Amino acid sequence: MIQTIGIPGGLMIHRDGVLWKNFFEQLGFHCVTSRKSDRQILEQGTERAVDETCLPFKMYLGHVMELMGKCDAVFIPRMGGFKTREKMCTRYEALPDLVKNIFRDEQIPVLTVSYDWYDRTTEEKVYLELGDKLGKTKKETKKAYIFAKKQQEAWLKSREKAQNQLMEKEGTKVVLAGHPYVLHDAYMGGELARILEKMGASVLYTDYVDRDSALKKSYDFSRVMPWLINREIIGALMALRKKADGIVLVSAYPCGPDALVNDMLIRRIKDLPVLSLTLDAQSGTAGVETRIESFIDIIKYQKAGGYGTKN
Amino acid sequence: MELRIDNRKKVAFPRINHYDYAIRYIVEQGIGAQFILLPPATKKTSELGSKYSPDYACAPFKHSLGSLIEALEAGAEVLVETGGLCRLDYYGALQKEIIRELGYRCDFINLAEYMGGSKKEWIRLARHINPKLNPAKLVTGAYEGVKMAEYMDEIEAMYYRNAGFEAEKGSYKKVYRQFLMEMQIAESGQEIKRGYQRAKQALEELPLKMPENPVRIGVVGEYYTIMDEHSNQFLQEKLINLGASVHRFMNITNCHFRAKETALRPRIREYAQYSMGPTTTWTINSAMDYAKQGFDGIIHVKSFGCTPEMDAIPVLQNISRDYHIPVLYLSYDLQESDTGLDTRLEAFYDMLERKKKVLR
Repeated sequence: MIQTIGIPGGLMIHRDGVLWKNFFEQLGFHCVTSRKSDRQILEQGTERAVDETCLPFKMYLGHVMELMGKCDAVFIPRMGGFKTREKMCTRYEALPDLVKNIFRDEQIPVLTVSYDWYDRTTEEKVYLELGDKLGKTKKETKKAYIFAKKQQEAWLKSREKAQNQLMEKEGTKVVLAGHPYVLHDAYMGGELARILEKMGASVLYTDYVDRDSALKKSYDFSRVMPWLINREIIGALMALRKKADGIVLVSAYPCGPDALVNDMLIRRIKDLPVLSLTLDAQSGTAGVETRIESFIDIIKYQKAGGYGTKN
Repeated sequence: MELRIDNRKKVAFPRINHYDYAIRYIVEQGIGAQFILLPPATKKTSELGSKYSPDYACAPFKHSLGSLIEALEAGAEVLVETGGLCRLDYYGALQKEIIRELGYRCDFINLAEYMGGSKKEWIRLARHINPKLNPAKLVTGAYEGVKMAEYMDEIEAMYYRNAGFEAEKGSYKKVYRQFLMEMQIAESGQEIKRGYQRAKQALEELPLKMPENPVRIGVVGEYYTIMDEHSNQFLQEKLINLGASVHRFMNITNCHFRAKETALRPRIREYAQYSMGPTTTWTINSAMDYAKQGFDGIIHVKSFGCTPEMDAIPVLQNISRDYHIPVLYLSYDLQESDTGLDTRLEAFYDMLERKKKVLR
């Protein structure tokens, strides 16, 4: 009997976490989330992961371990994406099976919801199935889903609004562009935002925008790009660049989609300074700090007409 | 004197081992354009590719970019890049951008844009390459080209299974080379079939010195690296030289014309409930098959950073534990030399051989 559901505090929790939490709570379950990412969580995750896997996934495993024994089931959704040109990285297709195989000895009970671009399903249908799996009626589930979706949208709207206000302010503004679980993870992107703010720049995030319109805009950039999150990042960049002074592309080593898409972005964005940062499991932020510092210097210098690029 | 000018368009596709010959056949006999058949890839190809690729793009990206640039230098007018279910889907878009920035002028066809499209669109695409296209010829050409790929897969499988035990050194290779040469120049379905039959018969007749219990190794892994000899540094060739019988499920025939992913998935239910990625089901299924058939070892091949195959590794580790079968994991980037690989393969083979002696 499932009473407590654990939600690992990594990967897509930074994008859809509000939806998940509200959905389960509305259905009468108790939710626990693992604590904020830190060095220890990363270390324990790294121990269990294949060396080459990406930093956020190692972090995710650490979060799963953090939840062991604290809940009746861990919620690990399998998200393939809903459309052919709006897929997720293949790791999300593998996620529940992957975690089950890695922690086979520990026998973690995994609760999952599965969708794939070739299933031709919708988010609502998927969550109705999940409610059914949990032994709830269709009516209850639907109500919970609608409520949770509203909460999720309200959460995003408030972030969007705050960001729009920030955009109107004077001063240096830098866009942090990357996957939400890199940008908002306390141990990864969180540090970057802190450094940028310390240097007096305001930080704009690519995931605090209206997702639908960002998605639509991204088709102007590329018709064939297969990844949903990268589409959202690009759409957001196109909307934010008018107000921003510089872009920091943040990627976690070795992110498959980012490796190709960020290269394309650097080739295409010619009107704004771009700094491309790749985060890995190194300890200490001194190196990153220096690079950001000089990047901010460049922006300020250019703004004052320093390099004469604007004639 | 009659002056004959070849005004067919010159089409190129990134190298993928000997499948080049089948693609050439489809392009020349089916579409009626000229195919730029490149010589085997060299170190230069990989260097060219990685020079202009993003740092941690996967190795197949670098290899295919290298091939495309070499094809341009050889006079290609139309470059074709394929799409797929992983990063491969974005190869075309980025490679097009890179090639444009390098200043080459050519037509770039990204098949990712046509995937899932109607037959009409594909015909229109073929018409774009050759306006005088004969649709009936395209159909037979494509059919015969596919047939050639199937034959090549069959002969290749025979070769790697037995060549390690040939009675006369070099006899297998000779037949295999001759066969590939015939495929390279074939101009009709008849020639393809005859070449195949001749090769098959010749291989079957060659005397073998097969030991009672040969060391059998199954190779599993990522689509491109496992099939492209240059990318995997002639892994299978090295293994037969050590004296192993090498089996590989993953090839064009099994992948695209026989085994359906959804049909295989119930067989691996024990390890995976869902599809874990484009080729992962095949990898897991064939690894499990090899383990069940009592193979001595499994080699997992992938390019560095290949996400779907990376996610197969934890499953393979479990299979290795459950069936007591050793697995060697090889992750390829663009290596300079293959001494490291030689050492690892020798050690792996020795270990398998010793294990066999002790246990039997």
